[in-house]
Amino acid sequence: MNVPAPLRGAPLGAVLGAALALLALGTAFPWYIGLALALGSVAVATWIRAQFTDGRRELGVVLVLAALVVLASRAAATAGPILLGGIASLAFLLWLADDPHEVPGGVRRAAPSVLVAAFVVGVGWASALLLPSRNAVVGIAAGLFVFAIVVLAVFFGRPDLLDRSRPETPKAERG
Amino acid sequence: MSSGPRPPTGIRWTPRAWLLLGAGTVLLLVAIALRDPVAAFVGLPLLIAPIAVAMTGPPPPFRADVAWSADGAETEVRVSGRIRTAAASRGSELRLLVHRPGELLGPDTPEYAPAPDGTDFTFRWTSPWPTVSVVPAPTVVWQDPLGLAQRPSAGDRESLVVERSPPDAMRLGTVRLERTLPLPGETRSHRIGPSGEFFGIRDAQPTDPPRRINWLASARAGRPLANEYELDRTGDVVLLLDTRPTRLGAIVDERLLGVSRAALLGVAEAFLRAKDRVGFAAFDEFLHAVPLAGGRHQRIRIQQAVLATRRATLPGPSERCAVSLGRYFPPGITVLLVSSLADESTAEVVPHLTRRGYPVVVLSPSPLGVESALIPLDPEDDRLAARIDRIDRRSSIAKTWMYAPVVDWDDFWTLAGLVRFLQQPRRRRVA
Repeated sequence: MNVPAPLRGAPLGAVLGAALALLALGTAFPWYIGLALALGSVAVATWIRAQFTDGRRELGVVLVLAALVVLASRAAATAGPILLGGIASLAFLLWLADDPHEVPGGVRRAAPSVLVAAFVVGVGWASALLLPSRNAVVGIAAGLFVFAIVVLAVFFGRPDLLDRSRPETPKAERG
Repeated sequence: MSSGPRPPTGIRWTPRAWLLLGAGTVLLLVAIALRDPVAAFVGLPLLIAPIAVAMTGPPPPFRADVAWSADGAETEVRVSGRIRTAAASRGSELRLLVHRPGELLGPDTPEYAPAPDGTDFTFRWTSPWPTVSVVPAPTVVWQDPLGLAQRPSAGDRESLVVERSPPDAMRLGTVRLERTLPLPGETRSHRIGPSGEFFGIRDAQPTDPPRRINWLASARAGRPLANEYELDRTGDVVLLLDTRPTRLGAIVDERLLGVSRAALLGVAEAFLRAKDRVGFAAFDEFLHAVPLAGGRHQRIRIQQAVLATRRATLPGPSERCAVSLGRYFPPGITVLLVSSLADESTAEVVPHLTRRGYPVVVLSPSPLGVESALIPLDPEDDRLAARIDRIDRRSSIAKTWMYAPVVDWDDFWTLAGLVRFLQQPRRRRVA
């Protein structure tokens, strides 16, 4: 079924809005200001992205990033907001992938990249809150350590990603 | 044919990636400053995502070929094609970077649709005036679905020529040009031969093939008779484009030159289809000519010469144009001069040509509409300026009419005035 372009980004816009709204409820802002900030920024950003096809559409990205920074800086340092912060950030990546002006199926194609980020956040969160030390710094360090291992594994598996030398034969170039 | 120098194959970060990295860094700094782990956990995916998408990209060098074409009617220009790649699963992640010519209006990014062996794309542009524009060979990049990283590809791509000529230029093919060679003066030339329209019957020769024998007439006459056919020999025309700078300024000159190039290509195609011989010459400081010839190859030669014309920086003297024209084209050939006649120096070329025996018809694109579109004025001032400009233009056209007929071309989407004029051979003749 063909969905009109402006409506195509709406479902994941709603997911991102919901994630940001939940994060906003755990901040020091009054609930109505937090919700307005979360839902308003996502709604305007989704509209901007659907409306423009040139560089102006990046204003929508800036708007959501600004809302993320503001909400994250006022969030309480407890298990719930930490998890919701990570989820909101991942929802933002999925929202980026569901671009109405691109070929449909962006979320499916972006899944490997987003899963790597989700894995790192998950390991970090679990390390921060489930280990006996219950230290966030340990969690972040664990997440980055896992990410470094994933990167190394990928590069060992696909050394061609780092290969910038010219192919020896035209056949190799055709690849 | 191919895109020339080999493109860089490394990963290129988009502005969006830098935005994410910037926001991730700010969040980490906020986390450190406020001793708040939430900001760090929000920032972590933003910092990881650009590296993660780079890992999922195609290995360098990857290859993607582009086949594209332009169609559409009147002002609509629809450029569509397909990006083909060996890695079909990557097809929907390929992006086309195109430098859109200034004469064409519309978005720089196309509409994409998945295809079995790549991606289909369509640009919907408009051309407010007739134009002949070259869209340079595009660049194809792989772009991740998040829009954070790009990797250029190698492959075969060609530049694309977008032509929008006035549609009624094709009617010029019905104009019967008069051949001036080898006899002096204008003579209608035709040839009796094996092809063309029926002309008459004559006694058959032993060399006549059976298909030329008129069997019914032979039966009636009691001796073998053969058909004769008459074929009009081609006429000759030289299309002369004056690219010298005028007082109108670079912007108006360029716009008029673009419109003139489109008209000339349309006119050349119409005459070539009618089997006429067409020559082309552009005059800037010197004359650049394509000698008379016919056929498809001549169309390509003229197209390349027309596309190579630019507004001159140094104007050559008018007499040089007429003298140089004599080196390529014998006197007596009809010359269709395309010139704005905005300056006396540009108008001077007409008497020089007529003095050297060239019957000249001037097609003069009017700068009035272009100027008023470029320089917005109050309605009152606009009316006054338009009146003054019209008087000035009529005066310059009247001066040129003393030497050659002039077609004032103000509606760029039709050449009806020129067609009407050329269809009356008596009016074409110059004393």
